[in-house]
Amino acid sequence: MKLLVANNVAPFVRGGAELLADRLVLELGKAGHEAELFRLPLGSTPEQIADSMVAAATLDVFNVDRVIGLKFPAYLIPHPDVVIWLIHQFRQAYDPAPVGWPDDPALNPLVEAIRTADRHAFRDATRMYTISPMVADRLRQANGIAATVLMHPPHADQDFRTRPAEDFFVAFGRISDGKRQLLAVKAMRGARPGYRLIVAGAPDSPAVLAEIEREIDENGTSDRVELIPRFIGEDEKLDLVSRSIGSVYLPIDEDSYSYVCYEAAMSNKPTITGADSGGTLTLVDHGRTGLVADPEPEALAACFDELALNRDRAAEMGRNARRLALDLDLSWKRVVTELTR
Amino acid sequence: MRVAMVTPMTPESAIADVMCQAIPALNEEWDLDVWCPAEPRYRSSAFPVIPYAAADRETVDALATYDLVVYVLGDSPLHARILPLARTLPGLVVLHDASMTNLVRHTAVETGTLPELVAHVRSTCGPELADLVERPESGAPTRWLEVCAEVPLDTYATENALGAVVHSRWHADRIDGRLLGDVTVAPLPVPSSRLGMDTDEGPDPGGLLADLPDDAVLLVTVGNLNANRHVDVLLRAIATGPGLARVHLWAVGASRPDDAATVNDLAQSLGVAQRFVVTGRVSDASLAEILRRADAGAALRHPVLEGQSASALTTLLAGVPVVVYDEAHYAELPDDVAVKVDPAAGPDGVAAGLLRLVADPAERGAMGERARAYALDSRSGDAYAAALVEAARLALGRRVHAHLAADLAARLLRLGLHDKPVIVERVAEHAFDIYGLA
Repeated sequence: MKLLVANNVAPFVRGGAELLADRLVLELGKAGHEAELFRLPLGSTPEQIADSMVAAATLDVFNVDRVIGLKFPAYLIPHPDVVIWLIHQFRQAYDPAPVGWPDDPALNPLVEAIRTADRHAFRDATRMYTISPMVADRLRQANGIAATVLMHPPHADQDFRTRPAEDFFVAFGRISDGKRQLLAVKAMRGARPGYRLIVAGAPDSPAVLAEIEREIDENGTSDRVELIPRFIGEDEKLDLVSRSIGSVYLPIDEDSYSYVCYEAAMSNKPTITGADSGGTLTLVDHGRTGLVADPEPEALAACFDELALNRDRAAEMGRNARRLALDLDLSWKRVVTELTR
Repeated sequence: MRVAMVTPMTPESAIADVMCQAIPALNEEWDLDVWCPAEPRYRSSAFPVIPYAAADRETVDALATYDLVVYVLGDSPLHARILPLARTLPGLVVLHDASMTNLVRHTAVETGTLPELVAHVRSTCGPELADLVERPESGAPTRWLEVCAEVPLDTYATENALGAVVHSRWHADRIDGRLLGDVTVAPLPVPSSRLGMDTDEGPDPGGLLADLPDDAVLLVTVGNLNANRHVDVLLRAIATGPGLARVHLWAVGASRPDDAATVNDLAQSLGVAQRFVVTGRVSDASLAEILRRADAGAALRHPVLEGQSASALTTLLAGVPVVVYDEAHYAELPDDVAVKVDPAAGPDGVAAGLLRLVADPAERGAMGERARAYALDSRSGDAYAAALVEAARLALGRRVHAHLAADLAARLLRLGLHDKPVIVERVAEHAFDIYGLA
């Protein structure tokens, strides 16, 4: 088949969705299909977002047997055969604030337009899949659509390793308000001495980085928090996690199990996540594969202490996490089969 | 160029009369066929007409073979079988009225789409107006006139138009920018003196004229008698206005018994019944005789629902100066052929305007002559045809834009975005930028 994988693009933003799309194209090719990635720009202002919808709606796609739509508004592209593998909806138009837009007369018409277009695109799709149970639940609640969960495999074949835990936790991912690294940094104020937190990832903005740096300076935790404010490569990342006590990952209402949690699990490390972190709970089973805390510095500090002061237990949780990750049977073969049948 | 003009051709249609005046000149420019809804009787004309029974696929397909279709629309059921064609097959739309509420509602009732129309009005104009559109009888007649002004539904008629022809700058300003094509102002011809009415339906006008005192100043208001003709204001004006004791008011035109009774009762109560006559519909000959005797005319309309006043033009052509409200297209009349009155001034303002005409017969006569000259110079079938030809030229240039609009609309419709202004406006903006449509 000639397959067009349709994703959106925000210039200079590269995260899990982009890695997933790249890998999907690769796997489709390996399976004997002709696959190309099409990326539709998605701006951030209401006008830009409306323009992106217009661009999608008015596009003509030629010489393509099937469009595989991943994200808004790329799945709005007109084609008689669109299979949607939904990474997530455009959550600004669905979720309560602060993830969603506030009730605003200036924004509400756009919200209504997005929901209407989604409703039509989902209804007309050949088949609907989501990348996680969390996304499927949201879709069912918001759009009344029952989609098949097709969990996404990791985007890369990584050289996972496990080493004895040194005295630090890692907090990976883009440094952003949404990932709440600041919360983990604040937790270090109340954590017992004897271990550090390494925060590593590219900052979304200078402001979000500055806020973390200010927190460290003002509370005198520079000896307990190490900042690596840049994109870190796979090998460096896997090395760090392999030597850590465990991973800390605190997104708000994450769409899927998250690569960060998966990488920790495959490295035999437990993860501390938030009770409101959504899809991360797929791999973080409180007390078995990691710890789930209220998103408060004090509660998080208690979790840090629990794992740091009970290394054997942390190691056991890590091993459990790896078993759970393997049990998910995340394979690209299954994904390709479903999306091309 | 092969052009089809779709117009009513019944004897009752005054619009047909003015359109027919343009046809000889149009025939010189175009290979013109005149199509009309099939009726038991047709207006006599010097050219053949092609009647059609229904605005169905067969009719659309036949019209689609022309280079251009000109749709003639007015706010009456006589156009009910034309409106659906105009919405289906893009063409040039001639709008004789600024409000199409009655026509659109009538068509919606006939096609079983009134609920959709009411829902549209509810979403755009609010529940009160929607309820009135659904049940006009639930409001007073004057309220319905206001509804027609507030919910003109003219864009419903022009939604797919390649262009529009209107008959006043005021009307053009109301719709310009609200349809795909250009808006052309064409000088509406004065209705001919041979509208086809052979009989008088009321008292003998000749007798009435004979009974007029020699010193009477005859004030006429020509056209159907309804709540929007402001006969009540005229009655109050001649009853109370100083110096207007010699003024006799005649309402010349068809009237329903209830409406006639209402104004006759008012005249009685005001003590002017001896100076007031409702003639009913009159013959062409009687109208001409009445206008020959008339000293002044009045064409008071508020709200203004028509795109031009054929009755005011008829009065002017007869050499009779008119009193009008100083608004809408009436304000476009030259100041030296009409006395313009602030509509908010009420009977006193109208009385003051009438007094200008009554007090100075010489000036009244001179104004009448200027009125006649204005009508003769500015109004003719040829001038009207020339404007239609120019409008057609512009409309043909918009055909490619119509294709673009239809294509974009279909793409938005697929996603339910066709009625989302936040998206439609972006599409329009980009289309204007890309194709230089501004």
